[in-house]
Amino acid sequence: MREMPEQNSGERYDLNISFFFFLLGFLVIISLSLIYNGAMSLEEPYTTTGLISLGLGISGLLLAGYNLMKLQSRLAAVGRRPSGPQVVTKQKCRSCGSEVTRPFKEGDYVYGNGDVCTKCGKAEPMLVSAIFLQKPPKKPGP
Amino acid sequence: MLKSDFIRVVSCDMFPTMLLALFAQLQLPVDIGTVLNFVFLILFLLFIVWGQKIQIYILMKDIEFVLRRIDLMKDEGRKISLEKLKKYSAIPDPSAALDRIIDYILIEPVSLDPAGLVWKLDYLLKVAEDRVKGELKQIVPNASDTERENISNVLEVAASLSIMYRVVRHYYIIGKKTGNQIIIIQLQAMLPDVMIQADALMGALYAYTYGHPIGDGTGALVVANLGYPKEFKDMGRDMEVCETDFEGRRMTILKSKGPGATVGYPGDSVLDVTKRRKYNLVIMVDAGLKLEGEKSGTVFEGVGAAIGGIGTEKFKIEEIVANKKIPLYGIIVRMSMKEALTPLSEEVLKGIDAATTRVREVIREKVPEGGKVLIIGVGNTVGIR
Repeated sequence: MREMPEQNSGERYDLNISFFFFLLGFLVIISLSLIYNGAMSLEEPYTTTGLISLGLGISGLLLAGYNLMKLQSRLAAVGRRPSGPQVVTKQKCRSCGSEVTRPFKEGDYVYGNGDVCTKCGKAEPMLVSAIFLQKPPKKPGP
Repeated sequence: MLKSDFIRVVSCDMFPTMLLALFAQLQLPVDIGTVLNFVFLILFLLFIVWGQKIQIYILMKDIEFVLRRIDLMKDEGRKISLEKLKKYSAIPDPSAALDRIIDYILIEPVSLDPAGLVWKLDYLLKVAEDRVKGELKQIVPNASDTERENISNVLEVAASLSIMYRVVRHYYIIGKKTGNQIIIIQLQAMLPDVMIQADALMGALYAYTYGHPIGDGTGALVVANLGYPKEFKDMGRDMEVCETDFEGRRMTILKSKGPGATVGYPGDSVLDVTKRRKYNLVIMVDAGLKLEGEKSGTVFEGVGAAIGGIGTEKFKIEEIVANKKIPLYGIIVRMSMKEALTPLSEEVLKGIDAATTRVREVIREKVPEGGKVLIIGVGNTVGIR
């Protein structure tokens, strides 16, 4: 494991994953050996031992695969830059009462002035009635 | 993967082959079962001797992942703060000033003699706020008051992320240096909570940067709903007041001054308005943290001062209502910590409407016609008039 910088907070440290791969490689080798042993034993009269070996070997391989996937997702999460939320502004026309929702613009605030109403065309700006996080649209089911 | 790692992995893969060769040289019966037995025996001994060390190593890896993520968040916080400062800055590179402000600390007053401690703390908080505001006025003279309030809060969030990173790193290094398993296990157990807080702070960072109303502004939004269309007037430090009638009852509405990001000093304003008028009831509206499993946006009520923070404002309000014997009710909208610090969700928005309706119902029930009620909207008023 590499040393963390202790004094200089500007320095980075790398994620050392070699030992993880070492253990994973070991698990894969053991699993393959177990599968081989199990497959060979299936021909002999002691089939129960063979089946157990085979089962353990397959479980080991699955476990190794699962851990690799988990590692991949975690590494991706570390590198991912946080992204801003999707915020919308809801405006209500003071004259005709029609409501318009559009993406948030810097400078919008609740009970402040919004855009001009396109429906009634009055010069008076609409009232910003709400600013909120819009839920992403649900993906259509299969 | 580094070259050394590759060599290590390859040597691991070659281990059974080497064993087979060794068995052949010693003229032992060579079959895969014997090799496996031998390998399991080695593994057994390995885990007896180094089992705990391997477990600790895995825990340390978990901590490193979180530390790396908070490090990225901290950098993002600094980057956004710097961009915001540069936008209005009078100096070409405000990074030195930014680092200085991020590292500001508030030295808490001595509590050996607790009498008068709240007032001392209140004074120090105001001095600390004045200092940051004063510096910001010099660094970003072209920014409006609203922008300056938002920048001040962005810096506060960046400072919180920086502190969070440094604290986690501190315990990580202490655990590594001393090999103290208790420290490492405790730190690893706290990681989910740390990440929830860090995520919430990141949400707050964006909200303050762009001026989005956040869940913590629930109280301010409820009272803004009650006061609309009346205009709020400035009152004291970062506070606004509005007087309006509701079904024959006089409502005095207090909130922090929007739309900049500030929580104001509601305690001082309550002290001020109660000196001039006698109230039948005081209602406080605020956002409250929900427990896991509870629904966001549900409204609940209580008796007492519904206000969080360091406690100075709560103390002032409790002191005033207790002395004047005014009933004090609290109306709270439940939400998670992330919802409290990030832009309003649709559930919280529904909760705000429900809380506004409930405040009106409470006024009808508890305040007689011709009576007076003081309503305090507690919370950060970013993005709210």
